[in-house]
Amino acid sequence: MERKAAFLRIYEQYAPALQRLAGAYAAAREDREDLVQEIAAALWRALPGYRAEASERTWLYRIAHNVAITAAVKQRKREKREVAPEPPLEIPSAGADAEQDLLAEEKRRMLFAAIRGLAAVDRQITVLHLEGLSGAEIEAVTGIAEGAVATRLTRIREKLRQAIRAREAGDGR
Amino acid sequence: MADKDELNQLWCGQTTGPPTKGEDMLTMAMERAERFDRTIKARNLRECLGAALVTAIFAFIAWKSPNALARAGDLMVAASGLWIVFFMLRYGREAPSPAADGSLADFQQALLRKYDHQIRLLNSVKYWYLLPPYVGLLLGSAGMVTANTAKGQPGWPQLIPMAIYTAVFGFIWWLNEAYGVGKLRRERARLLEEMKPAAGEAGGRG
Repeated sequence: MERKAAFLRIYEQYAPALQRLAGAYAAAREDREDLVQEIAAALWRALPGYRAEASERTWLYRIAHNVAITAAVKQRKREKREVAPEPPLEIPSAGADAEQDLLAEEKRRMLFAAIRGLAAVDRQITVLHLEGLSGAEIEAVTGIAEGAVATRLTRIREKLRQAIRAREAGDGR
Repeated sequence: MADKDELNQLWCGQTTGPPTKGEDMLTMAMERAERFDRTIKARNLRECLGAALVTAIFAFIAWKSPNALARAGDLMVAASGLWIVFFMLRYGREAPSPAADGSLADFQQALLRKYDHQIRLLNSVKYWYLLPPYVGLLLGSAGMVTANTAKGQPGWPQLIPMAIYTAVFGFIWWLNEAYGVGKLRRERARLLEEMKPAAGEAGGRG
């Protein structure tokens, strides 16, 4: 009973973050949903072994990224799925707002595609950073020294910028 | 584009639709975990039943064997069934799946060790899985040829089952060492490729 309550509490608190994380690994909606379920199953299995030595957040992110990287290594068709774009989202607002929303959505897609294009370690650091984890927390999750994380983040930002520019230029043609 | 605030804004504004409800996700997570456990248990049971069946059948055949050579071969096949299960239970589970809540660097190393272990296991299939029963079958066939010759019958019909089990064993060998190992090596290479940049940057809290 306690395990169920702990699962529900953690999942409900982090569900949106897990969905975002899945978006950094899988482009197709069904793959993202499958990944979130896989992470949830790993969380359920790992719960009895959780000791409060590590923060709950870093513990969960370890599980989530480890499950995601295992799935990514096994998923042969990832590149193929990557090129299949999702249908545009329906945005209820109208006029200038709608246009802005569409632009933001387009940029968001480019950002996620650019993150998916990063090497796994860079992708993990980026996701953790964007989720608001500190350098020390990122070190606790990845095992990469805090100083190296900071250096890497500067390089990743530049890579993302270039990748997004390249995508924007590609779309403009 | 892409200053820190804008990246954060874009990231957090991801429109993924409402997440699955907690209770529903709990049910799915429990089902997945149970399915996984069931699969492992079913595999172990299959291996044990298969071994017991092979052992029982060939022990019976050995009992009815026409001569010592055939009996020795059949007993060897019967013993192989037990040996293979012992080997798989003892060595096959040596590298368990890495703990999902380890640091990413530790998890990667554990995953690599698991791949290496599986590759070694599949590469040695010919010695611990195929050779003992194959030698047993060859001896059994040789015993049958001897028995037939002693009765004045031709020995060549024994070549047909020999050709069949040689082909089956050859296929199992290929399946494990060419297809299986190749697949694992590709996955291992992908993992290394994905994780390469982390080398030499490990922190102290992993």
